[in-house]
Amino acid sequence: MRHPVKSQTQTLPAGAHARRGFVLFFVCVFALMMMVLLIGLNVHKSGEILQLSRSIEQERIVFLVQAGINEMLAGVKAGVNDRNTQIGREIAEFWKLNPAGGNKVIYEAEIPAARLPVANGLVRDYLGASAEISGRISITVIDKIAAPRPSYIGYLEIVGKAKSRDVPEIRLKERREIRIVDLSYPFVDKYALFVKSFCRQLSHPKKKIIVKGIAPDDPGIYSYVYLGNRSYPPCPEFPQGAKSAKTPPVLLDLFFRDDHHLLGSFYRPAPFQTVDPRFEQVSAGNFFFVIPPFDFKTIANSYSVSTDFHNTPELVNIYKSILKTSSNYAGTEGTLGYMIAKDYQKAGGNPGNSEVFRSMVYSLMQNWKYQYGYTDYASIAGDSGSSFVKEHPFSGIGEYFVEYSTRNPQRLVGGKMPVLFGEGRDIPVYVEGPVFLRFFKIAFLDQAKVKFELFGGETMDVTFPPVPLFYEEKPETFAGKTCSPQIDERTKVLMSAPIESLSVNNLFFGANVKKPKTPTSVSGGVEGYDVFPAFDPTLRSVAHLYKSVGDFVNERIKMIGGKKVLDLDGVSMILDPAGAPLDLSSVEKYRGKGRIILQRGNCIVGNLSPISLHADTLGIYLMFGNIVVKSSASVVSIYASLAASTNFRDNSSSSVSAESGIDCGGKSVNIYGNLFVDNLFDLRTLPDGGKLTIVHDPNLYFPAYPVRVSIGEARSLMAVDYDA
Amino acid sequence: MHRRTQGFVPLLGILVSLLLLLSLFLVFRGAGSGKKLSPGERPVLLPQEEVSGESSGPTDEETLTAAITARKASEKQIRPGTNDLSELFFDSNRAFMTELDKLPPEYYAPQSVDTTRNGLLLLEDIRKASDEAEKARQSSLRLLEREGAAR
Repeated sequence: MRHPVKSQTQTLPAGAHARRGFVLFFVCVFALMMMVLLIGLNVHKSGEILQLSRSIEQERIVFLVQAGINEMLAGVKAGVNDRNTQIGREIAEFWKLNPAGGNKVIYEAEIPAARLPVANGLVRDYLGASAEISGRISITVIDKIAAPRPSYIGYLEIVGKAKSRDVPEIRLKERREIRIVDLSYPFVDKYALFVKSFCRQLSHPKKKIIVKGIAPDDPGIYSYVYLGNRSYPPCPEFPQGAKSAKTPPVLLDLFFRDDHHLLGSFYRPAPFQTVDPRFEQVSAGNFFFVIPPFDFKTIANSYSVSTDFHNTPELVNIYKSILKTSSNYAGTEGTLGYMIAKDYQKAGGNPGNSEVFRSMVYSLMQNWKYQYGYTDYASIAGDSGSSFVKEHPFSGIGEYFVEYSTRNPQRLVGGKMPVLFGEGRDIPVYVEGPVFLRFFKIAFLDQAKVKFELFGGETMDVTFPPVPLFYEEKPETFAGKTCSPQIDERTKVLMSAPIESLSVNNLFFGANVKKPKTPTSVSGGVEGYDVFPAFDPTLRSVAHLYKSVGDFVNERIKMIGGKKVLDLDGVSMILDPAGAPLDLSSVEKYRGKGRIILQRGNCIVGNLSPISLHADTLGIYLMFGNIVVKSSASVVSIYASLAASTNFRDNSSSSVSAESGIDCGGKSVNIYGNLFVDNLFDLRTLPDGGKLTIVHDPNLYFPAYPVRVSIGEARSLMAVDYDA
Repeated sequence: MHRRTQGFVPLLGILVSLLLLLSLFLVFRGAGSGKKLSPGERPVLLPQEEVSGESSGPTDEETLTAAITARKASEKQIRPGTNDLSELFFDSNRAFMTELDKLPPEYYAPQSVDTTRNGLLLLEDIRKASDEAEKARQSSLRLLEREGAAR
């Protein structure tokens, strides 16, 4: 079977061989061309693939460098506000030097790969051990913001570097704004309490303001309190209110039962030594200082019997009763009654011209015992309508209240002064403003038995009742006229009177010539109403600007450990045009250092305290609104510096309804920090028995490091160098 | 003896090399495992210093309460009424005892009232600008809606 095939092959013609050669040639050429094409394609494609794979590699590296930058940024954020870290320490050192503005690199550090464990961990996971990420951090200050305490702005620059075997070094650079803001304002921070407008209920007997100043060892350093008189109601005594020629006073009523510690040796409580023991008993416990009976005859020459006594109703009444008694005998010549009637006619009805009256006064002056003592408003007001001043000898002070019920009703309001010096009354506080201590002198002439020598050698023993010495706005009787010699160093006039010209500062600092109207610690005589919390008008120190309260709440209130925490970071300003209230009542903790400035609207707060008392600080400044306390607790504690004060076109005469202040919401409120307000709204929102306690935070007065370094949320620059 | 030494040297070299490689491997492995963070672990913060002190642990409620309630005057502070107040009260020639100079000057220099006023004016400008921008945004949105409806 094979032979026929073999013979067939052998029989092919010569042309067939030529065709076969051509086909072979064609196939070979085609194969060659294909090979060239394939090689070309291969070379081309592999270049593109290489390029593509390199791009992918670079992008992956860039992402990893970004991770490195984020890691560095996190470290910077954690460290800039902690002076225990190198970066925090260097910023603190820079701040301490208080340098001028201008470009200045204040911190620079190379960050090796070993200090970026997270980013390099990612590098190992995604790229193997062929690459590593390192970086560089620098902080440059570019400007100084003038303020009570200067702040600085600049930028933080972070450079991330990736070194790889396969691709050239890649560098990623980003910048963010950085603010080094001093949150303190020494002028205001030294005040535990600053109230611009007049509060007529400062001495409310049932609502207490308690101030606890700082208590350092240095006797030259103490807290300040300013109590202003703006918005004082106009009245006949002060027709233009606070702007009257005379300065309306802010009176604080001493309450000697509690405040006696302030009085030192001046506190000598005792009853009067009266002839009638009943008055002695009545006076017991109502006076913190009394003098022993004083012989009136010592000062008798100070007065004229004809002009200084005839207006004293008690003496005139005695004289009239003598006239009345003797009138039955007026017609019988030679009798005492006749002589008295004749004398009366001769005097023309004026007791001052009456011999009988003058004789009576002269005799009384030889027998009178003058007595006075000091008491307080609460004792005069008494309990449930009963007061010792209703007893005749002690009623002289009543004329003061009658007089001022029309001239100035503000003087009628009183009670127990705020506890400005701590509950132990032993922490000095310097009080500014037209503030005066008030207590009352109650004076009388005790009962006297007089043997009258009448015409014709007749005598008559008469017992004269005690004579209360009434308050006289203008001296009309001997009680209101100056005596010589003085009774003692305190007493030039005899009458009952309020003591309301003594500075409260006398209690700790001794007598003071000045009666401060403006804050005496101000340079340049700035009025109290023109003092405001520190504010940067350029807004460059503002770290976070919010268009609404909602934006602030969303960004700055965070859930940490299942609790809402206010996360503070420098100055946050809220510009809510609707004036929506900032409700922080559901937030009980805050962390960081910050100041919240609300342009318009109330701020509602409940119990609010820092996570760390010494590291975290909060200041709230309401430019037009009230601090409103809201809580389910009966006593609310707020650890913050609270300020609510509106800047009016003319701060000297503001509209009370537009003033800012604090609404205690019917709760007792503790503030650990300080309180700066326009108005206390007459303590209407403090319940009876309630307390507004302000404990001045020494860390606010003398802050160790009141600086918050804030890093911008947005990048101000970002650049990538793929072939560094 | 010479032949024996010739055979030993390469063997020793190989052993030393192996040991070197092993130690290098261990070093790298150790270093590598040290850097790796387990899930949830806090990364090392920059710079590598203890982050404490200022941001120290939370303050307990007792400390917070004590800050308000327990404040006592220093024994070295001025005492009230230690002198004869009856004289002090009424003797206006006595020197005043405050030592205001003890504080640095910055404690007596308030910021000018105009500073706050200027700031308020700027805030008002910002508010107006913000309102205008919002109005413009709203009107452009309405325009886009109308154009979309026309198409």
